Amino acid sequence: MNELEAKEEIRIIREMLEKTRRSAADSGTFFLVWGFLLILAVVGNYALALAERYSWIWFNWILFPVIGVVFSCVYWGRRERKSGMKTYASTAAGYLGIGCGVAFFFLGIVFPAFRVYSWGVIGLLISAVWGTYLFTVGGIFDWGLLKWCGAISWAVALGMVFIDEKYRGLAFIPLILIGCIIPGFIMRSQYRRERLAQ
Amino acid sequence: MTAEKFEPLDPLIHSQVRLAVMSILMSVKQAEFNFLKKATETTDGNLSTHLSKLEEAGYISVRKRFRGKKPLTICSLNEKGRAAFERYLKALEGYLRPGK
Repeated sequence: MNELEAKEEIRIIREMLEKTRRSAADSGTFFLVWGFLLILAVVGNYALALAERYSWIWFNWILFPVIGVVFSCVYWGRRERKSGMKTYASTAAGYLGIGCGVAFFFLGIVFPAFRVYSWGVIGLLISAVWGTYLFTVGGIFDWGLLKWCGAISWAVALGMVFIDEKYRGLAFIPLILIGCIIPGFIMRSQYRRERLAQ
Repeated sequence: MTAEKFEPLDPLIHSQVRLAVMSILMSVKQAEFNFLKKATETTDGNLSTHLSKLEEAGYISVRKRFRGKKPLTICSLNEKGRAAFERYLKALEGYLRPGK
């Protein structure tokens, strides 16, 4: 083998790594759908409170997350089938997502239902867990924006302590924008740019 | 520099298709046959032959499953393959002049 052939082999390796990276790229749909579902849930929460239909608020918080979970299962299944491969990073992020989803279920529904703490505390706990999810996913994919979003979620969780329980839900809206919608749109635009470049 | 100073390249990886397959599997947990075929731009038969060689050497694992009624072949890199690929890259570096 000479230097030229060695360079050709290096080119093949680089090309394969680039193809794999492109196939693993996310379109941001997951973040966008969850973002809009959570905004609908928060708006629904206040709409029901305004209409004094308090007994339906729990249903609102079951309905939208269930839609999100069904969507997540279908989305990841289809994505895996379409891409034809699995990376260590996507597997780690997937398990983290499942773990955080179970934590949300316990912290947001099971524990308050058993009156372990008041419903007003849910927002703080969800923000703290959400921050952990974003920060860790940001670390796995080495994406600074998500790490910052995670840190902001923790700050929002802390800030909620000083907000009246009635308005804590509203603090979720900027949190969803920062932690879901904005990263989702950035991912989408990067994904489209790469598609066009291919 | 004389040829004697170069480290020999692993003949099992020193093939365009096998090198491409090993490069992909190095960066993922697992990859399906169709993904490898599309990425390496090769035919079913050619890829199968190369995968068999890598599997026989213990570099990769090949599992066969079904997705619905369709057969599915999933490949992943073994520890032996990972070590061999790292050695291969190191040997390849030797063929490149510094700064190239």
